[in-house]
This record gives sequence, C-alpha cells and structure tokens, in this order.
Amino acid sequence: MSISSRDKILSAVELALGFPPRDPSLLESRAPTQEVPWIPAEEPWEPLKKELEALSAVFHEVERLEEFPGVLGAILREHEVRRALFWEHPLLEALEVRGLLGAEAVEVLDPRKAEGFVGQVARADLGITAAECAIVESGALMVRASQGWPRAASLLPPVHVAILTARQRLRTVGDLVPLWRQWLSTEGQLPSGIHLITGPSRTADIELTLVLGAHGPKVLHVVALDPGAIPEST
Amino acid sequence: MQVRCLEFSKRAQEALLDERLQRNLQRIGVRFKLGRDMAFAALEDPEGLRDLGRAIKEKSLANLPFLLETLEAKVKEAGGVVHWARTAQEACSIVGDLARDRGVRTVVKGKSMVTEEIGLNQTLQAQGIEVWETDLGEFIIQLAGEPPSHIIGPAVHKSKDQIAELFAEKLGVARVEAPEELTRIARETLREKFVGADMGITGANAAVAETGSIVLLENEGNIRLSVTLPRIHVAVVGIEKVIPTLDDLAVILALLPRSATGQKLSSYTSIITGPRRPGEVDGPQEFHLILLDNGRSRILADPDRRQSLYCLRCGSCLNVCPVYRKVGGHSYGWVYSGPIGAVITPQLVPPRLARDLPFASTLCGACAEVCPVKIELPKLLLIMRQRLTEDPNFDGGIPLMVRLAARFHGWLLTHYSLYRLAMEGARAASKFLVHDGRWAWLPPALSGWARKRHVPAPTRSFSRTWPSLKRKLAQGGTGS
Repeated sequence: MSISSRDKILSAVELALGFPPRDPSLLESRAPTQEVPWIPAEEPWEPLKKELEALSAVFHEVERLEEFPGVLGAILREHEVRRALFWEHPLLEALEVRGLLGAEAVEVLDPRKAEGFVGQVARADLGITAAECAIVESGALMVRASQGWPRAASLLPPVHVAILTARQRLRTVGDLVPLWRQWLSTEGQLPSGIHLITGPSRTADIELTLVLGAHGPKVLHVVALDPGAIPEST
Repeated sequence: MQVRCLEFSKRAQEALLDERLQRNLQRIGVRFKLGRDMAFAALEDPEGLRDLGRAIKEKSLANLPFLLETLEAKVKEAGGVVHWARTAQEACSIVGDLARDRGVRTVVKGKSMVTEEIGLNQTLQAQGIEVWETDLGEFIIQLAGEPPSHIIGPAVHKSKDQIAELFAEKLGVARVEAPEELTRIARETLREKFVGADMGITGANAAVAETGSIVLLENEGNIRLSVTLPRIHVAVVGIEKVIPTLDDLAVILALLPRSATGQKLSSYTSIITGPRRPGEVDGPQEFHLILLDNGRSRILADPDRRQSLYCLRCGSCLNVCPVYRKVGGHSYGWVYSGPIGAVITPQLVPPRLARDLPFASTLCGACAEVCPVKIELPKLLLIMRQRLTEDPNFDGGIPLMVRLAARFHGWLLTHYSLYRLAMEGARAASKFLVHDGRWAWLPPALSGWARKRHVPAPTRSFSRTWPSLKRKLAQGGTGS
C-alpha cells in the first residue's frame, strides 16, 4: 500500500509543479567558508553569563583547574545528590569527575549499560554532560548523542550540570552550521541526536505563568572553564 | 478530527459572552505579541531574515519532488523507515498497524498539530492503546476532552481553578491551584507513562533533506522524552515541512521561536537523525517517518494559494488578529485557527464545511505584518472568499436576497441623482425609525445583515452642509 501511495504523492506533487528539474545545487551550502568561527578563548564570559542567568540557569566560572573540585562538590551538596549519571567523555575524565563523585559518596550509574537503563536513570538526582559548544547570543548549549553519552543525562535527572570550556563558544545559531558539516564530513552523517538546551525545562501553559522544571531538569548549572582551567590532555 | 466550522457564528457568540475566556484571550494576545515584537526589534535585520525565510519556503516547495526523494534516501541511510500517506485515514492506519505489529500498549505524544489534523488519537484508542498527550497544555485539554484553542498554548482558554478542578476530578489528586503544583502533578503522572511507553509520536517543525533529520522545538522536555525513552519513534510530518539544507535550518531556527514565543531559541531544539546507533543506550531502536499529503499537493497545484503552505505554525498571526482575540480558537471549529486557520481549513477539509472562515476577518493586515515567512494572508483570505462564492458546487453561500441587494446598491451608486434621492428618503425615514441610534425597522435584505452590525442613520454629506457651516464660522461660531 505505502509504495503506491509514495508514487501517487510524488506524481501529484510533480504534476502540481509542472515537473520541475532536479537541481542538486539546492543541497549545497551557501556559507562562504566552512571554518567554524570559534570565539577566542580569552574573550570574557560576560555576554553568555548574562543570557544564561536571564534563563534562570546557574553560571559558574572556573579560573584554575584546582578550583573545579570545589565547584562541583558544592553543586553536589547543594542538591543532596546521592545518585548521578555522567558521560564517559575525555573532558570529564581529565577533570576526574568519577573520583570527585566517589569522594562525595555519590553512586555512579553506568552510561553504557543498556539493560534497565531508563529505570536506573529515572532514579538519578543529577546528570553531568560535556557541551559541544555554547551559543552566546541565546545562551544555548549544544550536546550530542554518542556511545557513553546518553541523551537521558541532560534530560531525566532534576539537575543537569553541563561543562563547557572557553574554546567552545559561537556567536549565533548560524555559526553551528559549519560545525554540523564537520561532523557530516568526518562521520558521514549527523549524530542520531543533537540537542540545543537553552535554560532549564519550562512551561507557561497554565495562565501564562512561567514554571521551571516542566518535564526536564528544573535546574541547569553551567560550569565554564577558563583557559587556565582546561585540562592539558584535552 | 471532526470538522465543526459551520458552528463558527454560534461558537463565536458564546465566546464573546464568556468573560473568563475574554480575559485569557486578551492576556495571551498581549503577552505573545509583545514578546515577538521585542525579539524581532533586537535583530539586526528582521526584514531581511523574514525575506530569507520566505525565499527558503518558496524554493523548498518549488523543488518538492527532489527534496522529498532526497529526504527519503537520507532517512533510510540513517536507519529509519519512510512511509507515505495520501490521506489522514492512511496515515492513521500506518501508525495503527505499526503499533499492532509491535505490541504497543502505551503511546506518549509530543504536541503536534498534524496528528490533531488526522485524528490519530481516536484511531489508536479504538485499538485499545493508551495514548497520552504529554505537553502540559495538551494534557490538560486531553483530560477535558477538548481540542486545542491556540497553536502554541493549547489550553490558554482555561484558568487555573478550572485546571485544578479537572486534575482533582480526573487524576484523583487533592485540589491545588498554584501553577507550580499543577505542573508538578502533571510531571509526576506523565513521568510514569514515559518510562512505561512503547512508542513516542511527534510531528516536526522541519525536515532537512540534506541530512535526513527532523527538527523539534519545545520548552517542556516532553518531546525529548518522547524521542528518548520509548523503543519506537514515529514522526508524522506534512510534505511541506521539508527544507533543503542545514543553512536553511539555521534561518528557520532564528525565525520560529522568536515568532512563536519571543524566545531567541526554545528551551529544547532537537535534531533527530534516524534511530539510536550501535553502542548507544537510549533513543529509539526504530525510527519511522510518515510523510503526509492530505490535501497539500492540491494546494501546491494552485500558484495563487501555494504560499498557504509556507506556514511554520508559529501562531503569531493568531496573537495579533482582532477576530481571533475576541472569538478564540474553538470558534474556528477545527485544528487550525486564526487567520492561517481561516485560509488553510477550507483547503484541507471539504470547502463548504468551512465556508464561513475566510469571512471571519476584518482584512486589517496585522497578520501579514508579523508572519515570519511573509505569507500574504489578507490576499489569501480574499482569494478564498472568491473561490468559495464562485464555486458552482458551493451551495447556500450568500443568500439570494443579499446578492440582489448588493446588485441594486451597485446600480444605485452609478446613478447619482437617484442615489441622492434614496439617501434623502432614508434620512427622512430615519426620523421615525431610528430610536436610541438603532433602526427599529429595515428592509429584509438589510435587516439580516444588520443583526450583528451597527447601521448608522444617514447624515447629510459634507458638500451639502458646507454652505450653512461656512456661514456659522464666518459669524465667529465653532461650527459644532
């Protein structure tokens, strides 16, 4: 049934448009360059911080690597975290997140175990991810799905901690395009899931009153690493 | 969904008398419009961006066959399955069959106008499947058994005490009124459903041919949950949603949230390409894309009306429409309301079932001024009016009496001395027939027309009152 529907729809569309020629140039990028226009790492965090705070996200700037444990520890204690899910990501490994969670007696969930995954994560108090980049104009963070980087980490727990370095900032949503194309050319396709996260989950469906934490996290912490706090191995 | 557009005038009248609805409509209109205006004012070149948006939609539709074929190939490459549905019924049975074959018992849904359009919930429920709308607004109206009243805020017509009542009755919870508490109740109720659901159903704000991706915008996180936890994801997408490239997507992402809610970006923008990949522990194991025609190719065939398909479903034309803001979404009697609803509904359902809608407009043009892709809505409204009245199959449109009266009026206007005589006559008659500024009696063709309109008593034209006015002014009077 669906094969014939396909042909019927396509021929109806062809007929409606007078059989337009196939134009492969439609699928070419319009961008003048395919360089990703990263913001220099030395530029201040201020504009991004302002956007994030306007969205009710919590911004933490880390100037030196030694300060990171203190910042993460304070977040864990603030939310009385007992169980956490974090990504197996080079940046988080270099920051020794697993060890820090252990030191705070936080139970760590395995981000690679498919069996019973949802049930486990549903009980997590906090998820830690590494953002691909932030968009300064809007305060959005981009994360992507991959092995060891479950989508649920930024979605199911009531608190999401996203870690970002000063080298990973773009100005506008349009600046994402060359980054997406880089993935396209190295991986052959886009990741199965790309998510732009702009503040905590929210709704205004009841009398236009803003409520944070509709279905996703109620709290979003952004831990921003200055050039001096980025681990050398990454 | 059942088409009830012929009840427009009855429902509009009810809406006008509903004080609470009037208050809510006023608030949403002002809030959304203000947010939208501020977001666009902050842009460097808002007009340029809107022109670009329009050009992208124009180009996409002009090349639709190629883009649909490319999209199909890319979705398959990413491990997804593509289905084609010519009608609402066909789309419903594709989803119904998928659910049956895969033993689906519970479905969670993200907010989607197109699944309302095809009436998917009823089909699935008839199969004994539990279907949960998970957007807070949609959840509320699902519990209330009502259709959405606004594209972006489906439950804006409900007040918090009505919702408190509804939750207490349907969910058996203690009655609370604070929006925070009501949201928490919905979150907890639905979280269980998400964890247990077998299938997530969404629409899409766009589909990117270049990469085979669908794009979903939302604020609550319920759409992300719908495409992360269940083992099957089904996206029902109108064929007009396909755009060529990621560059085009960046433009749509700059336009849509600003127009819809005044946000620079929605809380969550998800770009989904196929099901989960090997080694990933969440995301669906199966991804199905259903490409729906349901009348769209017919609209495409008419160059005059083709731009109706540019719509991004942002809802901004509703928020500025003086008619929508008084009568609300339910008056329109189907899925799509406001100016865009008045244009596309008669094109998607049998026209005679929606014949009142294109007339439910003042043609003030506010909608065209805010449309992110510059759809010429007033022009389309006029075209639809013309089509509806000229259609030989269009029964019972404009009553014979009104048509005759209009013809007579036209004739009268071209015969000046007769016209003046008639006006003098009407003026003389008004002395006896107008009480408290209202005509006590009007000839039959006019009386029907005047039932809901104010017909002013005729006055002397300026050229005839000028000589005496001039005299008064010369004598130092004020002229009033």
